[in-house]
Amino acid sequence: MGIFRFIIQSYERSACVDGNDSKARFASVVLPHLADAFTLARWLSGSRADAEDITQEACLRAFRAIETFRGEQARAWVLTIVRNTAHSWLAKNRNFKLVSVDDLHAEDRTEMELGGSLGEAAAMTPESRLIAQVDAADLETAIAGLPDVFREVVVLRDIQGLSYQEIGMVAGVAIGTVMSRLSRGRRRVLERLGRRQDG
Amino acid sequence: MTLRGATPEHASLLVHAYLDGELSVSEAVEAERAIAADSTLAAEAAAVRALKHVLQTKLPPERLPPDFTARVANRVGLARRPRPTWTVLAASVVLAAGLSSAVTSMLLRTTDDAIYAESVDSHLRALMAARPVEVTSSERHAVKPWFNGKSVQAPKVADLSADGFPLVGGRIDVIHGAPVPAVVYNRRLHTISVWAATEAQAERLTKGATSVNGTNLVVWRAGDMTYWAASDLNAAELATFARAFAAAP
Repeated sequence: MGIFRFIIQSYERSACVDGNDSKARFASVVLPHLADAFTLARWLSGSRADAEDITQEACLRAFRAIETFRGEQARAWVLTIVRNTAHSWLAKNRNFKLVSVDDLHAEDRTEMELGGSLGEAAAMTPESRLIAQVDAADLETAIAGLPDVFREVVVLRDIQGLSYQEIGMVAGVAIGTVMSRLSRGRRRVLERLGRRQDG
Repeated sequence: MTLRGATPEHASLLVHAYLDGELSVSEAVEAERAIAADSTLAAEAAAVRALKHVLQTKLPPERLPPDFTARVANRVGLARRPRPTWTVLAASVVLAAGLSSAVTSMLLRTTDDAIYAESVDSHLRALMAARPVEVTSSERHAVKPWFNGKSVQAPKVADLSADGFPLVGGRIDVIHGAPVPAVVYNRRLHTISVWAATEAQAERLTKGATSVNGTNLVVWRAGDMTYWAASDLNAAELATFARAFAAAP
């Protein structure tokens, strides 16, 4: 497979073709996913204005990289570029540092790797009918307050509807990591919603 | 009953995966049984199901700002052409799949970004191969002599396993017309390629950190040599790697 791709890539590089092809490719590969791109940028940055800048920059990067797109999973490919652009954009403009697993507190790290204690999660889980009544603003606050590594998987799955495999591609992690981050992130959202309703 | 052989933590992950429709039919049947038999799992399943529902219904995808699509199209130079119809676009994609454009990379290659672009190409090409290295060893004393006679630069091969960057091996890349030694490290599931620049290349590596198509790059000096690295690892951890490499004996 690797060799096959390499041959195709070499062939593509040697082929002398008109730049209009990459424009057409961009229009059919990237533009259909612009709303998804903007949604992810908005959740990662927390602001629509910043999301516009990030999405525009990501589109430029996607345009320059359009020849590396291999024709499958266009949405995940576009969102991977949006995510990486958002991280570098936030690092440059907001002194943002992506929390990596290594930076989490030991307790959080154990929970992330092992999934946390079930008993504790159940005790903090609000009744499901109460969850059904939360308003959009409370949900938004709960998601916005998540650490980045959890927020991106929850947004990609529960708001944007990507598969675990696609999320693994976008976030650059294994599916097992997607699963543990997703369950941990959802539990945190549930805990926050529960606290809000108790108080 | 619980899921066959599963710890409670694992069972909980499988409940999430079940509700996400990510399990096979037989796994899903087991998950359903486990949820029915275990009140803790049942409570978690109910809460997660409710949460998924409200996230789906109450937080719809963002609406694009007015004219945003046109602005993006304008930015990449699409708007100045007469708008082709979607069928024409779809047809051209089929063509483009066979003959993708090399124009962008050729443009890049005329500027100082060429070294960054070519090194990322080498890195990605190595990742697609069965092994990202030509000499495989986690022992730096085995990797360093391998470069002898293959390039002018004798790269530093640091042992960074204590910092969480195990050595994988080395290879030779040709970047901007010169053979360049590449030392390869791992970070969890990420691969990092490190190159030792020739003198001519060192002068052109003026950016401290940048990224090409989502692959992060970082440049640093150690001793009288200039090094740069590429990886899909996040920029912060890649910077940590560069610091550890520069500080290593």
